[in-house]
Amino acid sequence: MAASDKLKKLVDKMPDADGANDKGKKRRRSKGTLTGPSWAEAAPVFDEILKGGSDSIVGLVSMLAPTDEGKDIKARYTLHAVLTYACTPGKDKQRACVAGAIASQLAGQSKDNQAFLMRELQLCADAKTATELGKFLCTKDLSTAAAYALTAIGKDALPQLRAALPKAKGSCRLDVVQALSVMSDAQSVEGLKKAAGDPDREVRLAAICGLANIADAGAVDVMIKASDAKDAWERIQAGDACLELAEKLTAAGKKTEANKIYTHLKQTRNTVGESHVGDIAAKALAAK
Amino acid sequence: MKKSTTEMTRRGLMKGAAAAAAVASVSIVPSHVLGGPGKPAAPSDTFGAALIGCGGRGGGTFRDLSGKHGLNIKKLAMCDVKYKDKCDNKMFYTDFRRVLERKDIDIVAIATPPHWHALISIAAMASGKDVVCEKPMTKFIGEGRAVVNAAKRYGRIFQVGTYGRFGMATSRGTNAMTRKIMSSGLLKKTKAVYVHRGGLKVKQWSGSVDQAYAEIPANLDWDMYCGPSPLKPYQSRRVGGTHRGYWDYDSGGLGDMGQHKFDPINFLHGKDNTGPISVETHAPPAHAEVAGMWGWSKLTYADGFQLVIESGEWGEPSGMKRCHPTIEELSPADQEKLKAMPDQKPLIGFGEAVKTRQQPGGHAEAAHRTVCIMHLTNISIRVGRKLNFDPVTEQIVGDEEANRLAYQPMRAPWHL
Repeated sequence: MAASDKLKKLVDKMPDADGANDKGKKRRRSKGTLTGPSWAEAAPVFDEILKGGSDSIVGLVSMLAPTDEGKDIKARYTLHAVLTYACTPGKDKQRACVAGAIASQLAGQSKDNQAFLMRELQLCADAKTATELGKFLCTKDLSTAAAYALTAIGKDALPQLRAALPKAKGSCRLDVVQALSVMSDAQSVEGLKKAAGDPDREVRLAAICGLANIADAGAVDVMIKASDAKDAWERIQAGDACLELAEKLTAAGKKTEANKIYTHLKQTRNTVGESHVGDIAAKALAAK
Repeated sequence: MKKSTTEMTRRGLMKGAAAAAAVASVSIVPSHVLGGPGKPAAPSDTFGAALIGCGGRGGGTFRDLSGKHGLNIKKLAMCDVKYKDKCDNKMFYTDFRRVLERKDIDIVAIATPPHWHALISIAAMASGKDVVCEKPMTKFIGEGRAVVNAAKRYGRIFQVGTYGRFGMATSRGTNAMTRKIMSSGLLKKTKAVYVHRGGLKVKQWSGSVDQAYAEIPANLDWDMYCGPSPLKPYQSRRVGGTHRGYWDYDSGGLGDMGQHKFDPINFLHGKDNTGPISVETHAPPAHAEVAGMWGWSKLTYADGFQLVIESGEWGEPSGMKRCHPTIEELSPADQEKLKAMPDQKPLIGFGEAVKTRQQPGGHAEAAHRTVCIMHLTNISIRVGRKLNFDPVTEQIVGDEEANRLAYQPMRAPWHL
């Protein structure tokens, strides 16, 4: 849907880059910064735009140039500012309207704009928009932005991420595993245990981070195995995840499981460059 | 050629001593005498050190290890994403992970753009290194707590690269009295106000909204540069100092200068272990990608103390005036208690902290509380409204969108 003339006039009230009308040396010195209007000036414009409902938001999206190189400064600025304004606590309907309208426009945009719009959704998206975002979890180059937004939504976005886990490949799989891990999704423990044995080191590390976050006592053996990695970076990170899990298990009163981790780290981290981990484990065991 | 003892690092000595002990089965010198990772060191010890992020402040930050911090340093590695043309993974690196894997490095100086500060600091401490990290300590609130937790877990020394509080700790007169009153724990409510005006380079470090995409320079690992931030098309102003204008990597002049300006103020007012309960700002609606102009920020603490930050570069001033806390704000009995309290001791510098394993003056918790002033101000500017903040849970109360800026997802494989 093209932007209406009314919408275009409202957008035109927003500023261009500082010094956009200057010429020569003065223009070059301006660096292309942008100084917005005061909120007192801007809010009535945003209110007017929001009165137009989803058509206005769709119209704003249609005013974006395919790339973010300064060809659409006013429209890009307005879209973000209106979205921010609609997220003010108490404006739930406007927020939902903006999020829904943006989500509806994801398909058919340039890759740059798809990623940009998903990052905008990272700020305002809710459970209703999670479905649209979930469609991009298996799309290379867009799964990251989709995962960002779904992570921001939180637990309401978990069904999309869980559904994508068995299907996602390559970098998409890493994005999905990491999102589930960061969100400490207890329902994904089995999937994460499997991912802890993935051929891709980064997937393995994301998975064991998740298992540590979830603090699942049944993951102790998987974590101990991961901590024996030969790769130096993986070994450092896996050791860290093991300490995290052991600390959480201790706090949860699961001392037997925690001790198993500490004992392993004490025995395997005792040479220069690793002994600080062994010392932590030894101290934890001594404190029990 | 045989290395002289002074050329060997502490870890090298440890390794050598351990090997000799294993072969000869003789009694070995206890590690607390010899020193070792995380153990007190002799003043003459030489520390293996690496610099990660070699542009801008990098050289100065590294020189400070032997200068300001008085450590015997052996430079073992330099890492920068712009070293693709000279990376040998021996002295020159593009990937900090390879540096942190090295067991002969005791100290890491970090001078990358801020979006890397927390992740590299945490990984360095997990690798057993002590860390001096340039300001601002972090890019968002969640990172700071993770750095604090890593420093605690690993018992490493962390010092942020700003030192104004060290001078403040030895100052006399009004400052000394302010510090004593505000950190005494005796003052329940205060009318104290601190107004900071200017010096925040707001216009200078505002970002550009009209930059064309460009070819990635041959020597730059752009993916690694972007790191935990979104991988976007290359624009030249996103690197090399002007990165400060982009939310992806920093937070404008406030991020650049705030830790210098507010860290001494935070220390002075006894706020090293807490944060404001509300933040109100005066600024135009923010841009999605770049930092821009703003006028002022007013942060209010639970005890009534107010920190007012005025950029002096946009809009009307706040109209607030400085007001020192006074001893008269205490009851007579508490005034007597205050007088009996000892004066502030000088703070421990990074070098001494590394050698003695004591907490340095600019430790992780204090640095985190300072950088939160900047983060909360920037979040308030970015969402265009007043925020209420819980300094215990470190959550913005009743504002989900604002919280999404306080705790941001990272691009895989990077995560906290």
